Amino acid sequence: MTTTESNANTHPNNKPTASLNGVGIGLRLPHIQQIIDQQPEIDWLEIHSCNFIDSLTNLALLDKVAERYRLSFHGVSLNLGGTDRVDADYLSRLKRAIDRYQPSLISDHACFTAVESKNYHDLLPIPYTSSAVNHMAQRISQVQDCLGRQILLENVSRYFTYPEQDLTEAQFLNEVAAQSGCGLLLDINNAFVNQINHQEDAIAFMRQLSPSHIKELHLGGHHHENGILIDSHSAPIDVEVWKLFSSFINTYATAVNAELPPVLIEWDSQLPPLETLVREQQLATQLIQDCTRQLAKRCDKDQSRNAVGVSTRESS
Amino acid sequence: MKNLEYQQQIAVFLEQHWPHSVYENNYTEGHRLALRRNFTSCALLFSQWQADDVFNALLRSYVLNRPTAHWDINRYGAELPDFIIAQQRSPKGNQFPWPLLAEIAALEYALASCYYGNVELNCEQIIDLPELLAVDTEPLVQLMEIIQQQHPYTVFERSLMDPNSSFIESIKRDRINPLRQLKLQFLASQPSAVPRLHLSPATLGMTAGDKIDGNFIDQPVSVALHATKPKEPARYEF
Repeated sequence: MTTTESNANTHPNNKPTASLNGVGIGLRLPHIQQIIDQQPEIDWLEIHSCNFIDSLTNLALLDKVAERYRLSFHGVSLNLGGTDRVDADYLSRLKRAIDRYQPSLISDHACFTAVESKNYHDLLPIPYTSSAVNHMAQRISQVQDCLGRQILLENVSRYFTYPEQDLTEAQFLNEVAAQSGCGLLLDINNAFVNQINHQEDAIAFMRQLSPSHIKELHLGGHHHENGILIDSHSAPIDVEVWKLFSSFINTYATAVNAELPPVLIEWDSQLPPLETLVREQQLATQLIQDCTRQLAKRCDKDQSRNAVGVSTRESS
Repeated sequence: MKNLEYQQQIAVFLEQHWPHSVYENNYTEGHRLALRRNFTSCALLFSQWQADDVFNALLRSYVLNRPTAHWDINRYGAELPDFIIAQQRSPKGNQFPWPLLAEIAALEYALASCYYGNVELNCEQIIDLPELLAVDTEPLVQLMEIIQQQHPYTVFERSLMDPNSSFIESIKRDRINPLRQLKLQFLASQPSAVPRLHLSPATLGMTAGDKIDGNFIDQPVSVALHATKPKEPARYEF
C-alpha cells in the first residue's frame, strides 16, 4: 500500500461542480419551509440525503432550496464498511438525486450500518487494519465509479476498539483516501468525543491526517451519558471543540497554502430554532476570520523581522 | 472476493460486543423514537390515557422483534399495525381499544409513506379511512388535527357542504362524518408554490391509482396506496 496524494483530490470521473466555501448549516426538515420563505444569509446548506432521495415531496421542497443555496449531500446508508453487497437501490436513488442537484460535496461515514439484511441505522465501528483499508477502499471505488464523483469519508465517534487493529484512525483514513481517491470529512466533535472516551489526542489525530485529503469540516455538539460523551448533535458546540477548531485552522494554514475547507454546523436531535444554528454559523465565521487575521499579523511580523535581519546583515 | 478476516471481526463485534453496549441502546432508542414520529397519533392517545409507559414498552418490544433491512429509518414500522392488533390477546387485551389503534396506526403509516415512499408528485391518491373512524366524528377530528401538526404540508380542503367554514369545523358543528376515504393530492404544478399535500373528501369519479401526467425524476410508479386493514398474526408478542 502506498500513499499517493496525487489521486486523492479528484476522482477520474469527477464532474466540475461549484465549490463551497465559508460556513454552512445542516438543513433539517423542520426548518425547510423557513429557509425557503426567509432565505437567510448562509454560505451553503448540507442535506441528509437519506431523507430526500426516496421522498418526492421532500425533493420538490429541495428544488426550492436549490434555487438559492449551494448544496452538499451527507448520507448514512452507503454502508461502506459493510460486508453485504452495496445496496443497489439506495445507490441508484442517490445517483439520480446527485445528477439532478449536482451537490458540491457528497459524503458518508467510515463505518458499517447493516449486516445480513439487518439495518442498524447507526454508525458501527470498524477495525483499523490493512484488510479493512482494502475492504473499504474497494467499496468506495465501486460507489465513486457508479456516481461518477468523488465522495468524502467522515471519521466517526467510537464506543468500541477492536483488539486486532494495528493502524491509527488517521493512518486508516489516509490509506483509504490514497487507495480509493476519496476525500476526507473531518468531524472535529467526533475527534473530541474519541479523545475523551478513549484517552486519545485529538490534535495529534488531526495533524496526522493528510491535509490535502481534507475537503470538509464538521462542527457539532455532544452530551454526557453514563460517564462518556455521546456524539448526539443535540447541543451547542462545546468550548473545547471550538478550541480544537482554532487549532486546526492554524495547523491547516501552515501546512496548506489554500483556503480552509468548507465548515458545517451540524445539529440533529433536540433541534433548536433556525436562528440558533445561524448564530453558531456566525460564530464559526467570526472565528475563522479572527484566526486568519492573527495568522496574517504573525506572518507580517515574521517577514519584517526577516527583513530587518537581512538589512542588518547587509549593512554589516 | 470476500475479505474473510474483516468479515469475521465484524461478526465477532456484533455477537460479543454489540449486546448491552452504547450501540445497542442507540439502536433501541433510535428505532423507538422513529416509531413515535411515524405514529404520533397513537403516541398522543396513550399519553392522554396516561399510559406512555405501555406504548413505549410496546414499541421496544416491536424494535426487539422486528428488525428491518430497509436503509431508510423513516420507513420503519410497516408491521406495527399488525403488532398492535395482536395485543387483543395479550394480558392488556381488555385495557385498550387495540382494533381502533391498529387502524389509526395503519393510516399513519400510509401517510408517512406518502412523504418517504417515493410517491409521485402531480398525482392523487386515495387512502381508505379506517372503518371505526369512518363512523365516529370525535376521533376523526382529533386525528386530523394531529395529522396537521405532524405533517405541515397537509391541508384539509373546505367541505363541499359548507364553503364558509373549514372542513374540520364543519365536521365538529354538524357532527356528520362524510368521509370514507381521504384523497391526497400532490401538487407541484405551480412553480411559485411549495407543493402541498391535500386531504379532502373522496369525490365521485376518483379511483385509486389515478394520476396526472408529469413525472418528477423517476419512471412512473404505481400510486395506488391503501392503508391496509391490519391482520392479526398467529401469536401475540407483547
